Amino acid sequence: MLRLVLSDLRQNAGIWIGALVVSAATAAAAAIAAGMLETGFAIIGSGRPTDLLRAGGLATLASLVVVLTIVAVTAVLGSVTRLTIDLQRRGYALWQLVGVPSRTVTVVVRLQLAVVALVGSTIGCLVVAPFVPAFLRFGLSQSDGLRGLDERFGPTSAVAVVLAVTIVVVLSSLRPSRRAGLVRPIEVLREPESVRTRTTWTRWAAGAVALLLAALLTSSIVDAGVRTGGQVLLIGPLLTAACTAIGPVVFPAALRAWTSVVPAHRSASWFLARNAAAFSVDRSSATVSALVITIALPGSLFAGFDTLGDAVQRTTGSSGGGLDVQSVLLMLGGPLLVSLFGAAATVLMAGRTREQEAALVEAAGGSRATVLARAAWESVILVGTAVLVAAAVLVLTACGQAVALAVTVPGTQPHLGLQAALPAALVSLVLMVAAGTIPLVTGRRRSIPLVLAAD
Amino acid sequence: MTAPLLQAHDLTKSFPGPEQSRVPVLRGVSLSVLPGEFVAVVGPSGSGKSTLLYCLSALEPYDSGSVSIAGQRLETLRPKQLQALRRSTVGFVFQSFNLIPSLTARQNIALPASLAHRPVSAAQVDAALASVGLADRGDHRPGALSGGQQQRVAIARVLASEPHVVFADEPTGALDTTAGDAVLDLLRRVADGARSVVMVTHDLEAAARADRVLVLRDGTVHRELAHPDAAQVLEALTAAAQEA
Repeated sequence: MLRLVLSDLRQNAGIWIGALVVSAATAAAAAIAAGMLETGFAIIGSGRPTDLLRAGGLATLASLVVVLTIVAVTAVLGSVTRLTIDLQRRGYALWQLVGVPSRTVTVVVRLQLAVVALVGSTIGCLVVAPFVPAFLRFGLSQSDGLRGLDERFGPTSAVAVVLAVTIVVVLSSLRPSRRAGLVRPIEVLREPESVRTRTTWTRWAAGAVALLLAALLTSSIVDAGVRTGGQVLLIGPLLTAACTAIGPVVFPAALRAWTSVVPAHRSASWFLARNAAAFSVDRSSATVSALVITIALPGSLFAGFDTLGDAVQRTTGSSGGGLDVQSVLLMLGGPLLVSLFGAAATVLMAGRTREQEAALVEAAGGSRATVLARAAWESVILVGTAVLVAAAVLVLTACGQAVALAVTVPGTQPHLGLQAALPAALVSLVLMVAAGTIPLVTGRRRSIPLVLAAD
Repeated sequence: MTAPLLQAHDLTKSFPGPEQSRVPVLRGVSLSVLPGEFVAVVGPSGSGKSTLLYCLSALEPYDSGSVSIAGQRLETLRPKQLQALRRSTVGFVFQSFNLIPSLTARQNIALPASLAHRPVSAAQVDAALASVGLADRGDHRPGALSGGQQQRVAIARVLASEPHVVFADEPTGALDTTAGDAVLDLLRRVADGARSVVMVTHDLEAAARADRVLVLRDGTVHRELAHPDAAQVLEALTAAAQEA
């Protein structure tokens, strides 16, 4: 079995690289939170009352970082592991044809994911470990009372992060890996069908809980007014989490709606890209999920903070200061790393499918430019869909908060956090177009017959 | 005398082998295909039949020799001209992965015209679909079609593009007998007055449907049979294998 696990990993390295990269990014993000906790425990060890207060402050900040990281990791990791397995359905059908029992297929897939997660998280931890204390120092440099700590990230924390990430990856793959064992052998002979993930009751429940919490936090502002606690900053991330939870329903509908506005007959590359994005529902939803996190998380954080700042200014006459870059990076650096790497990984993982479609287009007389434009348009479509969904999150966050604040501070204006959302959208667009087109430009080109030959 | 639609002269092709050596696959193949002709290429495994098809159809570059399709010499064409040739002069039917999974049968048929910015009417597409017996499957995606139906859609695409030469690589290789027969009937009909079909196959019955059968051995044309039956094709193939 070990031989099957390793040889298949080698053979399909292009697909497994996505899970590897996301595991590494998740470990890097988790290392930041682990470093904060380790630093806090070290302070508690001193036993001085002032240090206990500082440890408490650090724990609050760490919990915020952990919540934001969980939002990103939950959305991205599940999508990537599901995509990793769906892209290899043909291979699993072949395994079953040669007599591998379906239960063994499931076990092999779980073992493969465990190996990839272990390697990925170890790489991620090793790469960031030397920089975590310096990053924490930088991130806390503007926080009163948390400057000048003895920031740490030791081997024990590193091992805990690697193990935690590996366990989370394997747990997130339980359902998809069971599906791998249920692939019918006949799929070897069939063109791939559009595999659509059902929005399970757990997703609906997760979405409902996140929405409920966001509503409760928003309603808490009605009574507290500008004296509301910092937890209201979680309204946006909670709405983002709700959106990604029911993404398989929301994203395809949003994608089809806005792309149908552009006439398909204007450009063959647009026509092909639109159909590919709408057809590969799971692949598109995985990428859009990660992109929504990338755009909505920083945007909604700023939207919440600035809308509250608007009310504070109307009450006290002073703005109360803005979010400093250091704190934002400390809170969002890890989650954004996970979501950006996740989005890029989902695009790169589908390289083989895209190569086959490109070969068919070229065999039908399409030019290389058409193939490249198709890849670029597909990225634009995915980012465009994410921007639309993220915009809805920002509007809901800002308007909900403004309406709640207006009860005690009439005239409070909503702020959409565009100063963070727009650069995030731009970075996403550049990264997605690059991830879609660069492999086509620089990759070793196989001949059309070779690409289209039966596996 | 009618001019050949497809002509190859002294075609050679080799692939990289171990220790920087070259393994010759085609060793000076010459052939010609007349308009309306249905030519089958058969041969033992490794005889170079698929490589010959790809070189003839401009999908694979060759080392030396010449190929001309409808009067155009392939080795003189630039990439853009080759793309135009694929759009308008040649059509392909592969063994599998013929259709873009995200497009419906109708959209797959219209794709070459769309890539060429050539108008194609719904009536033309419907007529092509009807001619392969799939008038009611136009809105189905490849995943919802059987292997035989997918091959028939690929042939409908060829019919809608109206190319001069159709290249088919083992078109019945993944099909059962009934579906394979239907595909061969269609290819037979495609080879009419102005259009030719070149098909690579290992199926003796399929080869026997052709006007002419070329038997390849070690990268050369070993024998040429006119209107053979399956037994004659088998005899020629056996001889080729024994002499190899």
